[in-house]
Amino acid sequence: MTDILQTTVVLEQARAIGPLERRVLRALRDKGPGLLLEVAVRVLSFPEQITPVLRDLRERGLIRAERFGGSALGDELWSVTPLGAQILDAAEALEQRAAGAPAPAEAMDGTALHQSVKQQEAELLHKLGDIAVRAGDTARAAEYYEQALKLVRQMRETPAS
Amino acid sequence: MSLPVHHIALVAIAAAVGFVWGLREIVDAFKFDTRHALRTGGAWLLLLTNALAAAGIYLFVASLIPGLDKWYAALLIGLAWPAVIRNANIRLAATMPDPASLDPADDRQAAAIRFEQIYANFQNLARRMINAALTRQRVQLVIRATRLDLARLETHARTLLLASLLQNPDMPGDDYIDKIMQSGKDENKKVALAVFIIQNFGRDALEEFIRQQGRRSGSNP
Repeated sequence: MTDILQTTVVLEQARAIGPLERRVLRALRDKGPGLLLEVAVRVLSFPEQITPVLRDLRERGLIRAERFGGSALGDELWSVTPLGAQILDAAEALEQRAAGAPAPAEAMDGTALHQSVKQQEAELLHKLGDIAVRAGDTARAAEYYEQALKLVRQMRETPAS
Repeated sequence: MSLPVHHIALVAIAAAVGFVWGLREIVDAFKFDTRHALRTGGAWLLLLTNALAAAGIYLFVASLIPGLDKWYAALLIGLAWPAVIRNANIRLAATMPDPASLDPADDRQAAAIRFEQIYANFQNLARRMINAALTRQRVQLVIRATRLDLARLETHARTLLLASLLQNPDMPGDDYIDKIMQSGKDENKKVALAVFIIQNFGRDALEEFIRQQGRRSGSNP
């Protein structure tokens, strides 16, 4: 009986979790505990935006904070609680169920070969970019990466067109 | 002479298995930063305690049950000790019963210590020590990065982001870096960029860049 009640509470909380809250929980679960600025960066946000979210999650017992000296990155180390991890798992399961089964891959026939060539070209440009980074030439690396990214974006657009 | 050596070897086998067991726990708990986690005091505390506990339990069991001086017995006890310790209630009977208590059984009950809980608390302590050490290391790295030139740090962050977009085109564009560059003082921008690099591309990406810049300028920043 207690298990059923607990499961119901977890499911209710999982349904009530907002997108930013979910991202914060996921960031803490997947990358471990972090200071305020670290958590903000993980979810591509800023400290002033996620501070209320963190406080709210802490009040609900989904995350906890430990004092962590004085640091420019924040003075509390945030981590997800077992309950928070459980609710996140439930929220992800609900999300997956709502999304349904993935659509079958489209047959590409003639375009497949073209895509494969582009893929190889993009990989080659990526490797050239890596080599340039290792050599310390970030400007050239950026050029290679941009060209490769352009190809990748073209490849993504082709099947839809 | 060969007997003690044989026994030492068996104890060492149990300890080694306990050590590997602890290693597995750390790798499992710190997937995101295993290499650095293993270099912290908390990790060694956990590993050595696992090794010593496995060796101690082997010695204890081998002293009680004859015929356990075999390598496979040491291996099995080394493997099974967490299960044994986690499931066993070790009751420490109070040698000095509480005079206020009417029932001596209550005294023993009160003195009973669940080793599973002790081990879980110890694991938690080691984990917190590792997390604190890793966070301190990251903060130090960010402080070092703030001595770098802002424009170079920004270029590096954008380059890494471009490279990662190739691997995962669903990643957000560089508008986050634009926002960082529009915010506050240069010092804060450097801190945010350094954290961005560490969080998205790992500590090595920033450490290597700091080294590179140090070599370029002829001194370590």
